[in-house]
Amino acid sequence: MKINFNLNGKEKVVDIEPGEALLDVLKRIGVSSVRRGCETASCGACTVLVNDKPVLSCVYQAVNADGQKIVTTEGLKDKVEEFAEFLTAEGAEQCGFCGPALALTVLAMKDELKNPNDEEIKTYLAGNLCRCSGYEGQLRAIKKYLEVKQ
Amino acid sequence: MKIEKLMIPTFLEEAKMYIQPNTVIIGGGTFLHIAYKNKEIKNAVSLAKLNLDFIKYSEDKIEIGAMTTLHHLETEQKLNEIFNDIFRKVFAHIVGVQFRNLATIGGSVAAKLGYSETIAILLILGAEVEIKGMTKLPIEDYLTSASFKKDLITKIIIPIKNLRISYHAVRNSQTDIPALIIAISSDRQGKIKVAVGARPSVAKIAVKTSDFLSSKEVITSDEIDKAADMLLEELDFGNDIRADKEYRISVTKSLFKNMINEVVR
Repeated sequence: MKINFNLNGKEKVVDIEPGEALLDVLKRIGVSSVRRGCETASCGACTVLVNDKPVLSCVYQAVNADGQKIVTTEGLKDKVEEFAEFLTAEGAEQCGFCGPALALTVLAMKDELKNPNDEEIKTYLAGNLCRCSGYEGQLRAIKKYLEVKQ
Repeated sequence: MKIEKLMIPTFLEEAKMYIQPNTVIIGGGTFLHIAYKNKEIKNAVSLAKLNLDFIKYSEDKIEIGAMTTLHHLETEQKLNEIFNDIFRKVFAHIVGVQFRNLATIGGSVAAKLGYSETIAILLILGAEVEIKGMTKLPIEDYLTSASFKKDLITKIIIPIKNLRISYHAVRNSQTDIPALIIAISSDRQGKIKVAVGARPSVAKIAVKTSDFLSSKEVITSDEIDKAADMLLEELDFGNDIRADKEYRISVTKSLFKNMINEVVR
């Protein structure tokens, strides 16, 4: 079946299988930033934004993407690079596997929560697991980033 | 996962026609790729285009469409004002925000999962489940009725009441599935509801314990001790990967005593 969606500002028409996950479709059409992690809706590495909300693309039904706006880090290059500088400054980038998903979730959090405290940040990002366990560095970077941006 | 035939109805009557005993109903879909990994589904019906994502308020009740996400409920200000922030406090710890933007209230109820925190909360709020836009039944009846196991939930109805609520989920780590859930509510007339989930079986109301506590004008500490024993006798506890039976019994007893004091204080 065919679906139409807006990917990072560009209209796409893609052939999908009825049961396919959005992650598989994005990988197939060449989106490299979205990670294939646990595929059990646990680690958050496959996060993309659908209509500006972070969702797990490993369990998001591709068919539901029809008519929606999908954003990955490729579509937010400047914002992601700016956030990445804060991560780097705190030594929090580590292996980088969870980085794209973390960046997207932080950007969504910035729009959703006004002046979040430490607990609110941790709760919002609890679904982004970092296998290098660099959480303290990430938290420092996020707080400094939000100080500048909010 | 492969789906041989996927139907995406746009109105309820159409959806009803497609649903047969072997049809897989897709709500939020968060469990689908895990439950059916490397499997083939012959017939599936998606509820995505049925316009079941809504929250409607009236004087005495709140109607929540089955496809309303947990994050929507978590961040819905009016709903949380009515129920002392309970949806925000409980749902904020279910996996991550990316999951809660997909998981739906209808899917959470329909799956009848033992560790469902949504079910525990809805039980103590006295919620009803609407099936196919027609039949309404108390959630406790829905949970025990095999005939509704694979039926189409259209909305959840919660009566508006002034409740005191105490809730606790025991987890091995922050975003893990709970190893035990206890939820207690008390209304202005002193009607108390005690629900325990993740035992590991699905949450249920401890009817005898709830009735015993509700019958008392003032609840003494002796009566709380008696109610705790009654609770452990009334409900079944078991083992699973997250906790064993003895642990669940021990923690339930301690938590229940603290929590009941919070709602009857």
